[in-house]
Amino acid sequence: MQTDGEESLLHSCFGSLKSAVMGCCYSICHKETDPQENIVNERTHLLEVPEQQQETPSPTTCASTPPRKPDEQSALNRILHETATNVIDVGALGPYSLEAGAYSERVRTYSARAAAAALPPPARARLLADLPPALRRALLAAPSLAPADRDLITNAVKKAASAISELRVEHHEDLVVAFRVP
Amino acid sequence: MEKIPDQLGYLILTEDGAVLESGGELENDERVATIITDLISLSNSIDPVAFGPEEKFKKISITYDDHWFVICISNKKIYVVKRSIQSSPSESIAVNV
Repeated sequence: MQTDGEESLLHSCFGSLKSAVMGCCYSICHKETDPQENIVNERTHLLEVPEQQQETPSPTTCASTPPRKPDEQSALNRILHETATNVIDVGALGPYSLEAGAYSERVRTYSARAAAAALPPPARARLLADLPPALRRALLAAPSLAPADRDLITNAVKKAASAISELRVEHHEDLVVAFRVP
Repeated sequence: MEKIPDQLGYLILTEDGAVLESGGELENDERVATIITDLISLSNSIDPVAFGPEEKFKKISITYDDHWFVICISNKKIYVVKRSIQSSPSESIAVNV
């Protein structure tokens, strides 16, 4: 809880600060209409900065914004104006009409291109070949898998399956590290 | 369909899996027909890098201890034959993992 003395002191400090800032704002806001623009004085910029990058508060905010807000407010306004200039309003473009001759010309060109680029339907991938009847008869009557081959396949697959089941991830370092921000 | 030696049963299916002919132990066996059809469509979507489009196989065989199935495609039909194995005492080395 502040005492009355401290409170009045704060008020007077704030008041003088406000008038100083307002004075600065006034001079900055009216820079364009200043007839003494060409004269080098204490207000001329040392570096030639382009107009867009200068954080000049708009005249409407000069009188009302408190000292800490102008940066945030002007930044927000800048972003807003940049977005507004970059937006393309398609709805506001208006009706677009094509001449009859140009339209039919385009139809002809595009259909010619589409016909030229037409691909045959892709053949379905099939692992088993379609056999002629003679081959089929011989194949179905052929002897079965040799026991030695069968054991070889079974053992090889068992070993592969056990090897795959033993796959492990070895943890070496942390995946997530904190930024060492002082 | 022709008689196959040591045949236990047979199925002739369309490419979609509908049973055209059946006989023996596989007579009217729609369950086996569905399984075989699914197996063939599974084999069609095998890794194209490992098995290129030019590499075709003639048959698929499923071998058990006492019987085995042979599957092949001919004239757009799937032929499945169940045949018996004359089990003889064989010296096989089995790896138990």
